[in-house]
Amino acid sequence: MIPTEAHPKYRTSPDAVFETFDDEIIIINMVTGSYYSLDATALGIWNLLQGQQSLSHVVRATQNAYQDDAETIESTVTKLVEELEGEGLLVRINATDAPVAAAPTASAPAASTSDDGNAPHNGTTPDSRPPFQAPKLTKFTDMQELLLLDPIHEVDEMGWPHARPEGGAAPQASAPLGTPSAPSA
Amino acid sequence: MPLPLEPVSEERREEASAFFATVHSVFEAAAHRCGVTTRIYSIGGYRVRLRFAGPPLLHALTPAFEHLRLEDEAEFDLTIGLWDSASTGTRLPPPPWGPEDILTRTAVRNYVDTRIRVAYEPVQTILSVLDTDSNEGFFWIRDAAQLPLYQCGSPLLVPLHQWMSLHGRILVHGGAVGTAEGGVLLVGKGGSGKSTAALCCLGDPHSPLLYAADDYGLVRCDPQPHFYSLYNSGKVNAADAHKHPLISSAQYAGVLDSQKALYFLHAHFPEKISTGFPLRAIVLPRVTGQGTTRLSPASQAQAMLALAPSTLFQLPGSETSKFQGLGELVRSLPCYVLESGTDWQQIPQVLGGLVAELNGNA
Repeated sequence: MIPTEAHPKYRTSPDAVFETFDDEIIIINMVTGSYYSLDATALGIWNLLQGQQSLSHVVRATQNAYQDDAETIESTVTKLVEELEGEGLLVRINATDAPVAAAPTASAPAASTSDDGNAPHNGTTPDSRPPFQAPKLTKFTDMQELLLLDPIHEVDEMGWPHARPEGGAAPQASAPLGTPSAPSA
Repeated sequence: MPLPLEPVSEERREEASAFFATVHSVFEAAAHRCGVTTRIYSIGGYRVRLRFAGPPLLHALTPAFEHLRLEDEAEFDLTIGLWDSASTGTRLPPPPWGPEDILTRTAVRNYVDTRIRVAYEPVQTILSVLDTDSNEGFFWIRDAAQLPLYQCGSPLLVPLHQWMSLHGRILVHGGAVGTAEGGVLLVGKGGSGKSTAALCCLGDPHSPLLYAADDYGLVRCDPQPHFYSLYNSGKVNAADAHKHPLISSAQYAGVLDSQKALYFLHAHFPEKISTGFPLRAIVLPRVTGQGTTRLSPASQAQAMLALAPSTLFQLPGSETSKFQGLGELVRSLPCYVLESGTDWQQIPQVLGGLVAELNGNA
């Protein structure tokens, strides 16, 4: 079910950066540390959204580009967009927002959906459209720990912000150069 | 750390300039008191001058750069002054930022992607500050005796990243092996086998492949992809030492917190260390546990997934341009998976064959 606001438009979140390769797109959320890959079907949907197309238009274009039940495509596309928004990769463009230039889609593959969204299959000729495969968004979270921030509250006696090492122990200098100790197995 | 950061006010910019001037004056006081030793290195194709006030940091931080050292000290593109308070008897006043301004990855609010850039490590109190207009920077630690070993293995990582990112170079998390005609970039997150693959090549006396990196290096995309070695340090797991007999027989510098032994390879194998080469391919090492080592095609997206996150998340600033640059690099090179088997001696053979083929076609 398309959201009550039937014509929301989206843009890339300022927290995210993305690059397109062949038929896949890699997106990184620089705030959360999660990163994602989108497959070819999802890429086509992403490209339409980058082109400032409304969600309803994206749904229609996808329905026209693939064989499948229109309702299934609508719900799948809507779910993907909601997921992208929930992951902080897309933000809605409010009516009061300043106009945003459509993001360039350098190296984007040939769009799997038509831009005008007004060319439905007429049913009188063999349907050469590919079958619809649900778009796939893969999320990776293994880098999140690099962005975890332990709040620093202390200032040392010299006025410098200070943090204790993990475990709360006082910092230990490693063995100075030239006096190696045997590494533990 | 959110993108984009809020704009920096004029007041904060003036504060940053004043702080830089303070750091500069304290360094000069240390230099006056203890004398200065100068070293010049070719880093990323640029001439970088390091000025050490007093010996402690000189001894600790130069071994990793030794393979890049230049004897001609006439000109330089970047100068960094280095000192510690304990050995020089100087005191650096506290910075104009507080605990609430410290962000992830050593970044400090109001000092990211600005004219004055800072990296601050709050456990050992290590500061680097860079003026990107005057191409001058400083590195300070309260007590050089407290310098963590990882700083010796990868010195000045963040300030070099901050400066190089403005001069057409991307500091990447990756290894590299090759010949003077060309080589490959080894990419993957920690534990993927980059170091193993790179060190296997160095440790094979029959392999023509030279070692340029096992963890970090600099990459240029224009006009053609090129890798610049940054450090000649290498790290070997204690459990894997027996698999690198040539390296493990050398004296190591110390043991890192990760329980890896740190080696300065140029000191032991100068003929096997490269300062860089044209890049011919991106290789994703993957430990299979199988017997045979072989190559298989990798997609550009796979290569980007292996390269970009660990590169971006370790170093603060310039995320968007860096990500775009990595994308450009990935799209310009063929990509392969190195399925590393249990017989590590096959790794230099397989990589050597790939490098020879790609150099022959170049």
